[in-house]
Amino acid sequence: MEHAQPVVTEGLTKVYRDFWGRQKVHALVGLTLELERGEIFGLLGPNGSGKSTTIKLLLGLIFPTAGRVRVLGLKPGTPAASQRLGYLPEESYLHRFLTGEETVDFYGRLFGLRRRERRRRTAELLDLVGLDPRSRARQLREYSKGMSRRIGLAQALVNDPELLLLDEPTTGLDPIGTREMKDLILRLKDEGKTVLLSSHLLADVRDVCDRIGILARGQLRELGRVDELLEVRDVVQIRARGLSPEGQKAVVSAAVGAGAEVLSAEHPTTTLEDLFLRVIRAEAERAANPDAPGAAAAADTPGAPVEGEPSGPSDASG
Amino acid sequence: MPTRRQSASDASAPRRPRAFSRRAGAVALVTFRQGMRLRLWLLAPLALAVAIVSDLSAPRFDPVFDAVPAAIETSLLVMTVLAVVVGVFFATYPTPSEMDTKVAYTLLTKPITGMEFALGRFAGLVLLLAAMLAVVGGGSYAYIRMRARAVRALAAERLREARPRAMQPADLNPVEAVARDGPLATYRYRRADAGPAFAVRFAEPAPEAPGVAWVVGQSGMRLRWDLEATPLRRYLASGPSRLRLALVVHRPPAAGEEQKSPEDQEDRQGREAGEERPKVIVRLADPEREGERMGRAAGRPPALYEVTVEVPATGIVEVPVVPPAPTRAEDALIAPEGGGLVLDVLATGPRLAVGARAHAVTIVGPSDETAPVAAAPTVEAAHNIVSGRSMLVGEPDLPRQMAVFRFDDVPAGRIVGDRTAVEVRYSLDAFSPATIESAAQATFVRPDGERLVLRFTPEGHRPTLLYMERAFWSGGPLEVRLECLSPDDYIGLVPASVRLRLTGEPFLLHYAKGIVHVLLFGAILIAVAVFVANGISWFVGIFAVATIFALGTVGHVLLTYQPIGRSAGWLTRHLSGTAAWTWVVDHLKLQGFLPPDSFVMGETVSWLSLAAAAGAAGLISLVFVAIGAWVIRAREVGA
Repeated sequence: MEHAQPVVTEGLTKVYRDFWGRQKVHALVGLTLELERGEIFGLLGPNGSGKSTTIKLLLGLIFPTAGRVRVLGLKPGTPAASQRLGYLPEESYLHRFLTGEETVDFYGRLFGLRRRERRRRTAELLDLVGLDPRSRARQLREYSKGMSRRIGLAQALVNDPELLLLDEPTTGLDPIGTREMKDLILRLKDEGKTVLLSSHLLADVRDVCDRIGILARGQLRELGRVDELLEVRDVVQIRARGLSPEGQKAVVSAAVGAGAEVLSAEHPTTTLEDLFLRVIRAEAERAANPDAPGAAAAADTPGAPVEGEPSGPSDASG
Repeated sequence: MPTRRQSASDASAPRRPRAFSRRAGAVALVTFRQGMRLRLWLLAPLALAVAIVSDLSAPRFDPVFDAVPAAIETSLLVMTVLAVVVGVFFATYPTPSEMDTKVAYTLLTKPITGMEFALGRFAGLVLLLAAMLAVVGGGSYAYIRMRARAVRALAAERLREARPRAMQPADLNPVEAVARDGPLATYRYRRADAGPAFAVRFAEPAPEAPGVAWVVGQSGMRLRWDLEATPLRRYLASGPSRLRLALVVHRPPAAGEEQKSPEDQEDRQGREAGEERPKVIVRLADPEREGERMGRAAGRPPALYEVTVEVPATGIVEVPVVPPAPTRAEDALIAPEGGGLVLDVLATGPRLAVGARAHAVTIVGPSDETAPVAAAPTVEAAHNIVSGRSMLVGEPDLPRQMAVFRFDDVPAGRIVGDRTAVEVRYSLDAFSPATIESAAQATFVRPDGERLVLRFTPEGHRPTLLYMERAFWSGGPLEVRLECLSPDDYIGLVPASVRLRLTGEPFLLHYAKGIVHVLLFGAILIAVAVFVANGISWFVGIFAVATIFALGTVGHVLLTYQPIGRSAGWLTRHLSGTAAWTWVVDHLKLQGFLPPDSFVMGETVSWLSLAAAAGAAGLISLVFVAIGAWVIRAREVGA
């Protein structure tokens, strides 16, 4: 069990029926999928494509009509499987009358954690998701959407799970929160955890996922590594810093001379997310230290890469 | 619908009992918090205010004797309503709301079993109800104590103004007892272990007739034989039959007349034209349908036939019995169709006592074949006088019916002070000329035959306290005989009419037991609600709880409706009438878990009875919680 694959489905099918037992919707049709340990898998698809159904089946909230599903080698929904699993729902479906601290403590109890361990874990997780001490003592009904997502994530991590199911994890988060969420997901991967996330925000998926699957009308239409799926094999992109206009012309000429069709030769743009983050962080630095000359300069430099995040052309399609 | 099953290989995670209680405790705590943060706790002070205002504004028949029982009754009623509010309206709320707000999506993906969830929810709701009952109960207790102080002062004032009563010395006056001990001191009673049984007390000289069971006229009492197992119906199928009765008659002489032997009386009757012989009423009845006599359904044959016959000096009476026929047979009994079959003999007037021994009845068939009935008659109250009450009629110089109560074995350590108080509660019924100062007599009889006779004036709607010196009785068995001494007056008695005042638990503990009963009642409602609400919506949940409530009541009514009980064969033979059966039937309707009616009047709730109620409530709750546990894990969430 310890080394079983995190998620295995074989011909997984789910048909929703109405009160009288008549077939209503074929939500999922013959999904066969395997997740590797330590990978981040993105489940993509339009509304009604079967993403949420897949996640509910993996959680054991609903039961398959046909096919087989195993989570960490166990039947979904059993306490043994749930013990090693973390789940962040699409919206933070939590008791709104509990405070942030009480929420994490409550879910810690459900995992059978002892009082001392729960206290330590609660403080640790609330720090991790960035909830300040004042917010922790407020009831969730007073939380903004972003704060609710953070507390939702904290409850999902309370048991230090091996497998995390994240349904639209960045929904409702501002760009900073989105970036922090993505950083956190990558960090969890570094810790050896397996993450399955579903999202509409394709850029987010691309930023963090190792592999993706695309569902459409309940069927898996595409499955593979992100870089392989997105690779445009007949287009070569050369990126260089400090190339003069003459040098640029020479490169283009060489390409034409080699029989290639030059599609574009231009300065790459950064992502809007990077630009936003740079501006906000510079503003924060300026507020913290108004005399620092570099702060303003950093904000004024277009195209400067964000730390640890190489920038690239926003349009990769060629 | 596909269901979730847990295979042995899936259950690899350790499920230790402590982890179980931790998880169930987490759900309990969150449920409790939900109730508190929805400000449900505000209902507690509100209920307390309602209880106090209702009690203050309600009229009292007698402020000395009614004030405390009424305050207790009102507070328990309000707490019961609170239990219904929490047990039905709130208990059906959390789970459906978690489904609606999709909190269940998060909750049920955690390693929690259905039992942990359902049991936790149940415990949280019970905890919430217990907290609210503690607030209302605590406040009510303080209020009742305050009322008790006022009542004591009022009793003292009334005692100062009271005129001396001719037959009732001051220390028998219940007002005096309230003034001295306070009304709360009366909440330590034990009802008689047996009674009322009935016997006849004869004015001197008493007839020497060993083994005879007696009834006197106008007392509503009767001698009864059960003829269901006899061949009477078989004989009747062949033709008219007879009942031969060997009766003993005692008719004391009128004033100035000497007592004569029966033979002398017969001679006199032969000599003195016009003098009536003693008469008895003989009945054949279906005991289950006896009550129909007053309002019989049209078209149904009567359930009771009777004839009045003269008793000759020999005491042997023969009554013809004919098969059921459309027309009434004069001077003959008709056996009621179907049902049970009993034979009753009643005396016809206050001057007459009629008795019979075992082997007094013989059934004579159409061909003069005979079937003796070996059983002795039982002395019973007539069904159609006052339901549930047995009436005593008083004629000081004539044979009198008396009610006998018995205490089996009272521990000496529970006797209060130097004098033991016996409380007698009775009702001067509508049959009584009511407001007259009637006279009654209580006789306390020790096992060694030593007697203490007290005469007193019963006062309607009030208890009478009768005291025995410790020197006379200080524990052990005790018999209490009650007689009515006033001609044409009646005393109604029920099994709880005679009670013994004992030491024991303080009023606080007594009251707390009542609150625990309310909590048990609420806990069952909550368990039902948890079971229903786990699978269905809030509205349907309330409807279903009401249905289960009603089903229990209907079950109770059906089992206590005698024709059904009788058709349930072995139940009737083996269980019906036993204390356990009565307890089960009473608790089948959920109201049976509330404090008994006698609780308000101060009867002690025994620990055994409380433990039995708690055990039954726990068991019932566990069954419903287990069903709820299965439902929560068997249904699809968010399908």
